[in-house]
Amino acid sequence: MSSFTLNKEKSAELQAFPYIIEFERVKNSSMKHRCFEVEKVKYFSIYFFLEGKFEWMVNDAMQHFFPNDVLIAKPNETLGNREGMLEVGLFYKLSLEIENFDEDDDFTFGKWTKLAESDMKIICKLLALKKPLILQDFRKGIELFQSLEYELMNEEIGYIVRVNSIIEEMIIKSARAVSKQESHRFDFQKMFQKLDLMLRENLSHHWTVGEMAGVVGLGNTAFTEKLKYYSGFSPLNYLINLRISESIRLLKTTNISMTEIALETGFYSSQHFSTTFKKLTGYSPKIYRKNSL
Amino acid sequence: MECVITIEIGTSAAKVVAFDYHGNEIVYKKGSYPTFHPQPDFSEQDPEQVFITVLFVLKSILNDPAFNKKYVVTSICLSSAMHSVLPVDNKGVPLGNAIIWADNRADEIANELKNSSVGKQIYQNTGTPIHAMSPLAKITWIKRQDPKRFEKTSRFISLKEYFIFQLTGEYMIDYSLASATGFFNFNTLAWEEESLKFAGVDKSYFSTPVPIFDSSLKIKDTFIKSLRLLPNTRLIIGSTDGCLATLSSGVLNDRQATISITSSGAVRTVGKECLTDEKGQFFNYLLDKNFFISGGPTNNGGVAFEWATRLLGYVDVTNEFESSFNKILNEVSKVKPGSEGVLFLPYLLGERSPIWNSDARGMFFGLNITHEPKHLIRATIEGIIFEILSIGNAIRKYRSFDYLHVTGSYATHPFWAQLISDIFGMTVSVSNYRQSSNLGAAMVALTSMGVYDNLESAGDLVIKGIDLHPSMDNNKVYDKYHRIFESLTQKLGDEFHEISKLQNND
Repeated sequence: MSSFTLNKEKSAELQAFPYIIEFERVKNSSMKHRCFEVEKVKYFSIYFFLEGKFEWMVNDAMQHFFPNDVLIAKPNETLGNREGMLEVGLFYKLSLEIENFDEDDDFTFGKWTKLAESDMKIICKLLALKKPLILQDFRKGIELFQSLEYELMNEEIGYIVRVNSIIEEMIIKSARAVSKQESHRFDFQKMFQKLDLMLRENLSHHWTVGEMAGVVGLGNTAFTEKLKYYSGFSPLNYLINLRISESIRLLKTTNISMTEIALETGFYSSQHFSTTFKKLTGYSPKIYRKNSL
Repeated sequence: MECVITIEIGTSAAKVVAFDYHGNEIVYKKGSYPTFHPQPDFSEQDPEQVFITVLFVLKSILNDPAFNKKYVVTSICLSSAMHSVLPVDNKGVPLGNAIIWADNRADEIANELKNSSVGKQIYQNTGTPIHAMSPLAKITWIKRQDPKRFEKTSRFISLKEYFIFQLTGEYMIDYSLASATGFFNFNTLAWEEESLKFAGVDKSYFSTPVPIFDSSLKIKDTFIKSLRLLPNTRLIIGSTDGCLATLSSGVLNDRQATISITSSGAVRTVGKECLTDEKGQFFNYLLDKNFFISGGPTNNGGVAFEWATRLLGYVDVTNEFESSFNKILNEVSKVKPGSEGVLFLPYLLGERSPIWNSDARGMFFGLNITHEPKHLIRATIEGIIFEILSIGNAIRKYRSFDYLHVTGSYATHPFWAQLISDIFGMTVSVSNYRQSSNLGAAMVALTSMGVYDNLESAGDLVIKGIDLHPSMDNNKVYDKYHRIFESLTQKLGDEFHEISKLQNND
């Protein structure tokens, strides 16, 4: 197998797919120097390794990649070789345009996918939260990448739908694998810590139970049941407790307005914040702040 | 019907239990909170989250019509984990997270103090082992290593005191919790000068110490209203988890020791005297003026067992640990006592009592070609209990107990309880009530309210569990293994130090 590169700017093959920035197969028969420095990742990119052994720095940590491993690098992450060299080997790389990328590293895929909105949210969240996103021994990858290559190179009848659906399948299978990775190492205490951290870091996000369950790789019912058993909380009550705890801290230690606190801690409005706060603590946030001054 | 509410602010969760006046549980609810490890040695908790969690769980019981239509709450009594430190400013606002007992950042400071003559004197006066867990070491650490935070600090309180402050606006601490700080002189029942001097603070940093029965605190009106409590509901300050779990055995004399194995473990005894030996190896916490809870804690209880079952692939990946528990014990119970020659030193997390060596590490010893995973699992459980026997033997030089009471999720399992009985060669009574700290708190509440005359008579409400008797044949076998266990632990001092140095990359 040799190298090829399809590029959005130059390659006619990609004309029907404006969201594909680049699709390439890289074959490297001898070490190349100064071509792969550690840099910020520009595009959402899926790497699939076919031959060789690669030692790359992902987000400042050394990772080893062997055949059948997948790395999904996302904007704002860093990637490269510590010495800036590219090792001998063979891999696919597919770079895609993503939309609505925000400061929480959340994003969506464009209109080309047929994913339902709620599925899209959970899938993107799973892909966004896992850093670095590495799938070891992802044997489904070879077939997907080879069919993608075949469809793009041959442009047989119906190839546009096929290409979109293969890429869609890559995304779904990756998200499922991430989800499964979590439940594979099933350890509820660790899972609880992880969920807690995730919620704290994205407190302003309007989490649904489905999204929380997705983070730890469980179905909604199993997740709710296990969390309740382990922590005594339903998922949404746990979230509310975190929101109120954080808002208390903000009320006590900052001067920022009620509305800002409400939004920062994930309430829909200052009204919603005030009612929830009073219901739990007995005080309105205003009085609470006054009392603690 | 009248009832008391007990609140245990534990290491991983807040547990609230309502009891009637006969000690019967009416309702139990819990709410968990996480521990953060911003650095490997650090263990912290979010004080606001702990407060909100307690409030939430409390509220969900008190506002439930099924409860409040039938019961009237006459008092609320508190229990908590020991040794947490939360610096607050002059308005009572927390300066960062609370540092909990498991935090090891003050290890060096503790070692420095332990080997000094001041340290020995402090131990003699406070009864708290000089160790990183002790607030004495932690507060000294904050003063030395985090001067900015120290400067803003007006008080050092615990998570329980923070809860009390939120609820009442007062800073108050019970004798039990105070006696776990390393700052509290158990003779004078006042803050110890030598400790204050060492840490570089004065007593204005600490709350007012009161007996565990104290009910002078007044819950703020807002909370009385939002919790739907009667205005005259008493808030009884209560005690700590370790003291109350021991109290819940219902026996307050030195003929009995209480063995608790949860993720960690402890051997505790009750006595009229403090148990301060030369080596400073025992803790002494004040339940009441006449009762010292003395004993030794181990880091490596159920946590070592859980580690081994995962390591050896016993835990089904799709299941929680608890659902595999019986299956595992079923298999290992078929292995003969002594695990056919495998010994396990359980020091995965270093060790506190009785060797007090944070460099100690775990080991399987005696492996041969015929051993299977089940032998190693059984050896793990035996090793955990051998360690507890070593603690027990150290205590028996001072207090001659010959009867055991077990509490905690591991120790009360019939397989574990029988092993404890065989390894100690003593009769074991198994507590059949799991929320032992809460039950102890109910005993304190009912005594404080005058329903019982004193803590001994409150012991009447404890329902005795079953007694397990030792097999003396097994005891003889275990005795041989325990000798090797102790001599290995002793011989490996230098090697523990060397290997832990390598693990820490020093």
